[in-house]
Amino acid sequence: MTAKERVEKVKNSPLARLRDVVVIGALVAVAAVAAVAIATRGGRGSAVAITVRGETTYYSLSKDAVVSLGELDVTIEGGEAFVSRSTCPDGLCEKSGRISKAGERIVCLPCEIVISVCGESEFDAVTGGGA
Amino acid sequence: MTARKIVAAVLVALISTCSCLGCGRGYFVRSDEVFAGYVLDVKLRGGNEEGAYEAMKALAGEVDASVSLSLPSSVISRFNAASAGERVKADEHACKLFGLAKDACERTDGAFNPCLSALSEAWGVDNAGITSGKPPENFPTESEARTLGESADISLVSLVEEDGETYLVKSESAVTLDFGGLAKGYIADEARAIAASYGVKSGCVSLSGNVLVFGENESGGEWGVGVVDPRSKFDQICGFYRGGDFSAVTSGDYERFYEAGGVRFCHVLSPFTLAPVGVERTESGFKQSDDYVISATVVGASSATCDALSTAVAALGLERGAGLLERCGYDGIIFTSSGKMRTVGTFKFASSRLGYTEYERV
Repeated sequence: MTAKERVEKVKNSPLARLRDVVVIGALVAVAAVAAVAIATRGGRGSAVAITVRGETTYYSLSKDAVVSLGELDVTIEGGEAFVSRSTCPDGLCEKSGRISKAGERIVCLPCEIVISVCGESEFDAVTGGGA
Repeated sequence: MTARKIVAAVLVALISTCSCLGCGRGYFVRSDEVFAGYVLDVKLRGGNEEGAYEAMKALAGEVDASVSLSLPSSVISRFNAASAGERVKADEHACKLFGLAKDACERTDGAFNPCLSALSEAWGVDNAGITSGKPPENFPTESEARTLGESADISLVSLVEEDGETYLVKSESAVTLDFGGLAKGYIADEARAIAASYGVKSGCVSLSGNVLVFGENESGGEWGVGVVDPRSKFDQICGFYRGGDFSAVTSGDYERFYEAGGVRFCHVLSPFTLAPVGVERTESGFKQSDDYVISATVVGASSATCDALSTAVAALGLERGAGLLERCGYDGIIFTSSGKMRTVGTFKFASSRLGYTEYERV
């Protein structure tokens, strides 16, 4: 058996195929970990922007509050914002859950209201306070 | 097989590098109470982030142990209790803060006065008084306040060096010190130096609203710091400042205050009236001033200076306060109780259509 033939034999052996599977599996695992790391990269936001029909108002996420917008209530609690009451028929905004990371948003199409967490581009921190 | 292995190894290396780059762009984010109700929030990127954060926490603890008026063992508490001529050993932080306080007092012509601790206690607006939530049994009379004001003079305090140690000495027993209007800014400035020594390239350090930023934010742009409307119920943000390296500090009557007879007594004292900012004496008691500073945000390079200047602006009022900022080359935004607003430098404004307060720009 020549050296070349020996190489071919090893290449086609079941053990080599198993190694291929292991290498491909490892690659997939690494890619998955990378994807998760990138997806969860957004930091905790410091403010929330509430846009009602084009008009935007900003609120600090560090103080608990209930902001009443007529059609719906936005509750800010423990650094998270969520729709706590809604009068729209589908109630999807209420089911959207809580948002706290920069870039996360809740959209209520019937009411034309968008609630999004700032932090990356608008506010990174806040100073002062209200009373 | 060998060739395949090499290709696979290169691929794995490439993918892990990419994923690491992805992680690297994110910030090391931590939030922790460092001392009595003060929360240190940090976002750091580059170098030894964890090491820098631990060093910042340790620093905040050290400064509190040195200057806290609630700890009887602190350098400043012992100094306040000492009599004239008695030497009180001062650590590095107390020495540096003394220098900063003296400079700030001179720079503001006394509008920032670091010797009002006894007066704060008399008005019940010191930490213990505010925490109790109740006004003092007896408010200081005009002559009592004047007596306390007479010894509120930093030139009666000196640093004495002997055998390699530094001591704080007063020439009058009644002199007291209070670095509360500077300590958070000092911690932020020192935190910036710590970050640099740990190789941290970008960051945002906030000590209960005393903010300092450097480098670039998460999107690789300039940092944005929002200013909260002082009369909003829900911390609505009305203005914001954008920049690369700066600090933003706010003083006002919106926190740490008590109310008595419908008058708000806040923790910021005026060295001119020797009463809390916004409080005036009447024949029968006290009333709220018609127009006083309810929030003064100061923006500039040094956080300790911003801290001192914001207190000075609150005491000086809108016009003179804005003048002081212009002279010092610091930016700021000032709100008054009658709904006036003045900016020094470039601030951006959020829409106030949904807002609760309409401020008139003056």
